[in-house]
Parts: sequence; structure tokens; C-alpha cells
Amino acid sequence: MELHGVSVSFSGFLAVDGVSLSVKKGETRVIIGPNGAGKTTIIDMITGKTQPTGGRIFLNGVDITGRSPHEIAGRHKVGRKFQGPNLFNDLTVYENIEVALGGHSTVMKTFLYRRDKAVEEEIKVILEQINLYEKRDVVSTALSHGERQWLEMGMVIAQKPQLIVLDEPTAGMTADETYKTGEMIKTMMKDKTVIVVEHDIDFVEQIAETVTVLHQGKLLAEGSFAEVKKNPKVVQVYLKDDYDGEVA
Amino acid sequence: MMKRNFNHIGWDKYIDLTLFAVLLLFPLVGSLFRVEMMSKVVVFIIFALSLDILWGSAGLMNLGQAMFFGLGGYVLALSYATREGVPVFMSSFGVTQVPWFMQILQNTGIAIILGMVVPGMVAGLLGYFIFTSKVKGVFFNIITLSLASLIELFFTNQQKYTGGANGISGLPPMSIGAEPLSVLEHYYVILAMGLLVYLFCRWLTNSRFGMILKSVRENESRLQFLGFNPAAFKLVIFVISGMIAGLAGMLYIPINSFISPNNIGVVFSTSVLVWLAVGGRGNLTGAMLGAFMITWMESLLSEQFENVWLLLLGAAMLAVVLFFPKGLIGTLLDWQYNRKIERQINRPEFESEGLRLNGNEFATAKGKV
Repeated sequence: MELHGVSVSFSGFLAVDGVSLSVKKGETRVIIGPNGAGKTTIIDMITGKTQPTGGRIFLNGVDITGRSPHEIAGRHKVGRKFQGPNLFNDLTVYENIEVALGGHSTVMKTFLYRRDKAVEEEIKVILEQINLYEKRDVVSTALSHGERQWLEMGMVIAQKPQLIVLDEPTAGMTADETYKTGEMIKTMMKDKTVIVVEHDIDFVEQIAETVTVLHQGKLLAEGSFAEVKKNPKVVQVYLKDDYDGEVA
Repeated sequence: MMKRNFNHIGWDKYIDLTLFAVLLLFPLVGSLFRVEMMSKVVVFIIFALSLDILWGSAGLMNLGQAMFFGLGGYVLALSYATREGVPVFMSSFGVTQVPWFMQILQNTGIAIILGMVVPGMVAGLLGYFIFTSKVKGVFFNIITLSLASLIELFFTNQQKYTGGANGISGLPPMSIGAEPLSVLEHYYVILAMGLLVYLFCRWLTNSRFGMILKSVRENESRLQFLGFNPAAFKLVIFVISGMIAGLAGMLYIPINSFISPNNIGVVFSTSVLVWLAVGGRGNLTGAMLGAFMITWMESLLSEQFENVWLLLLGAAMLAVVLFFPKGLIGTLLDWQYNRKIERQINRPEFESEGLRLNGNEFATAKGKV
């Protein structure tokens, strides 16, 4: 997964300015930065929601710049979890996972699809990983906020993606739930390439292999959590923006 | 242990069974006149189903559904009319030969196929432009509404070929060989088609395709990020819906023996919307019941109260929409659904250990409108 000097401007405002990133296969990368640093915009570009105005995006050497979201998700197998759970409210937990199942997403395949043993087993494994197997027949609106976040993580796993993009997976969670989420990411997504956007610094420390710091649309620093934490530029940005002093 | 199937039989399915049982046995008690009327009811049920898989499942409220019904009807009507040479409505305009584009219709077999293919193709063409250009919501409604009035105008103006506002009349009943079918035989042929369409729609809405349609309605943008192309799904259901409406239009011809631009335009499109509004959407049962009830009420009220029947019918519909905004069946299912959610939210057992649920204890959310 590589970004080559990617930029995007919204009616003159340069939200992301020439960012280059390279995420290795199997790596868990966390992107942090103050509000307005362009974190979510980068994710939007990777998943096709926003078209970059400059630069190219490669996935396993394939140029996916400018492809539509369903192509990137379906053919190039990029799974995305949105900030704030984004589910199918009228469907049950089970059906939400079932809709997301990768490899059954063309019209023809949805006609041929059958809920056979293999599929049932696959869904069961996912539901157990996200601690929602008991609640599989509950409509997703009846879940708690944290559970809805987990359900969406399960949907992302069900897609069988090669790249997983998580936008603030712990937003609105209690400290306990946040920790559990971190463990989930570490076990469920162990062999996958994962890009996470996060605010919660404890959580970042828990999961990150490499941290990328963005500031005002530009790349500020990159390295392990310990390195980034000590980086004077990072400390300054966070202190200046009065970011709860968490990093410092 | 995860025993669950798509065709979970809820109580709304028992209503369907009852309805078909009533339809099946109706000729035993009904007069021939009523049986003939009931044939029309079954045709309208098919028509209502065609809109329900579109509006109820995928949330695409087509305000011009009758254009597909009318197209199917006109294809078969023109086939019947031109079978024995140039019909009167053409010859009176100086047309001495069946026009080349209608010659193909002189073969009834081909006409029957075209009666579904033509509406399907029109739906495909319209759908392609509408869905790939991401027209949504109220704009979809306005476009379909104007298309319906456009096509109505077109059929009215092409008097030379369509009989204009007078339509095409004197159409024969269905026949096998040279022998025309009796009213009763007619009825059962149409009922068999109705049952087939119903089973097809049930299968469709219970399939993964149906589940994705429901997801299109619920959260279309999320679906894209799961690798689905919502436009493709909307296009396919639009075409299927158009073809079923075309089939209903064809079945209407031999029982009504007459078709006019009224059957293709805005007013008739509104009727089917009203059936669904009264019965409820997204569960097939509501659509069928709505078509059944309103067609009967229209007939009975107009016989009883010659002058004020429209007023009475209007008041009844208004009352339903006012007190049951999701339709009769829709409101009942909704009520059941809300109770279920309430139960799910207030379940202390979820916190405890060693919980055993056997999946069937909760109804699934399938019944939700």
C-alpha cells in the first residue's frame, strides 16, 4: 500500500498536501494528528470516496487512483470501518455480517448465493471474535454503541480484505471497550495490512507498529510510537494545539 | 445449531396462504360476473407485486409504474388487433397496411414475449440513465412521474397506430387453439400466473439479492464500501419490476377486452401507489391485500352508492393513511417489530453467563417494512 505525493484540495483549500506513505504488507499503521490534519481525507482517498487532485495511490503495485468505492472494496479488497458505526439498522447482527461477506457482491453472485454450512461456519467464527455470537439475532439498532462499533469491525473482516482501514474504531467507547477493541485488532487482523486513524493515545500505543503523524495536511513525522513520542516537532504541534497534552 | 432459514414463515405468510386459498375457492361461491371481476383483482395483485419489489424492497418509489403495465398491454392488444389485417382505427386514418414495426406482433407467441421484453427494455434504458447518474429520492419520483405522463401523451397522440384516446377495443379472450377459454378457465390461468409471480417475488426478496436491495434502501453509501455497486442492483430490480408489470398488463387485455391511455398513465400509476400505501410496503402481503381490498371496495361502493362512492373510497383511504401510515400490514408488522426490539433491549440475560439462545427465539427482522 503506497501513496505517492497525494494531494487534495477542496475549492482552493489544500486539505492534504503531497503526502507520501508506504505501508508494508501485514503492518499495522496508525495515523495520528490534530483535528484538520487530513487523516480522514487520506482514508477517503484510499477507499475511493474522495478523488485526489494530485499524486497516485498503489495497492500491491496496482494503481487504484480514481477508482470508484465499490471497485476498490470489491475488486481490490479494501475494507473500511467508518467513524461512528455505519450499519444496516434494519438488519440483524447476523444479517449485517452476511451482507458484508466478501466474494458474493456482484448481482449474479447474489442470485446464486446460498447460506450453506461453510458460510454459516465463517459467520459464526467472526461473530465469536467480536463477542456478538449470542446476540446474532438482535437487530443492530438494539446494540450498545460499543457493540455497534465491533459489529462494523466484524463486517470489515467478513469482507476478507487485503487492506483494512479503520477510522477511529474506538470513538465513543469506554476505556474497557477500547482495550478490548485493541486486542481484537491485534488478534483478528494479525496477518492483514491495517491502517488506523486514532485520537486515543493509549490505544495507539497498544496497537501501533508504526505511527505516522500528520499536521495541516503534511507529513510531520514517522516511526515507532516511542520515537514519535520523543520527536520535538510532534510535541510542539500537540502542545501548541493544546491537544490535552496527551503525547507530551 | 445455527438452524435458520430464509423462508421463515411468519404470520404475514399465513395471510398470503389464506388469500390464495380464498382466490382458489372463490368460483365455488361467486357468480360468473364476480369471478370475472376477481380475475381483474388477481391481475392487479400481480401489478401491485411488481411495484412492491421495487418500492418496498429497494425504496425506489416509481410514480409511473403503469407505463410498464400499459406497454405490456398495448403490445398484446396491438397483436390481437393486427392479427386479421389492418384494424379500423388504423384504416380510418388511411393506413392500408400493417406498419412494418407491428408486423412482428402479428405472431401472438412473439407478442407475448415482447409484452415482457419491451417494458423490461424500456425500464433498462431509463434505469441505466437514472441510476448511473445517481438520481435519487424525490428526483427519481419526479422523473418517473413525468415519464408516465409523457408516454400517456405519446399513446394518445399516435392515434393512427394506437387508437388514440379511444384506445383499442373488442379484444378477444385467451384461447387455446381455436377454442376461446371460458371465464372460469381464464380465471384459473390468471390465478396460476399470480401464484407463480408471488412465489418468484418471495424467492427474490428472501434471496441474498433481496437482502442487498433492502440494504440499498437502508444505507446505500455503506454498501459501496462493501464492494457492491448499488446502481447495478437498482437497475436489475427496475427491469424485473418492469417485466412483471408488463406481464400484468398482458393478462389484463383478454379479461378487459379493451385498453386505453388510461392504463398507461399517471392516474393508473397512482392507483397502484394507493394500493401499496393502504396495504403496506416491503412485505408483499400488504401490496396484495391493498390491491384486493381497494378493487373490491371500488366495485361494491360504486354499485351501492352511485353518486358518492368515490368520496367514500377517498375517505376510507385517507383514514388508513392517517391512522396507519405504513399501511395496514406494514403497521402490524411494525408494531410486532418494535415489541421485539424492546424485548431485545430489555434482556438482562445478555449480561449473564452460560446464556443459551436457540436462534428461533427472536424473530428475525425480515418482517420490518
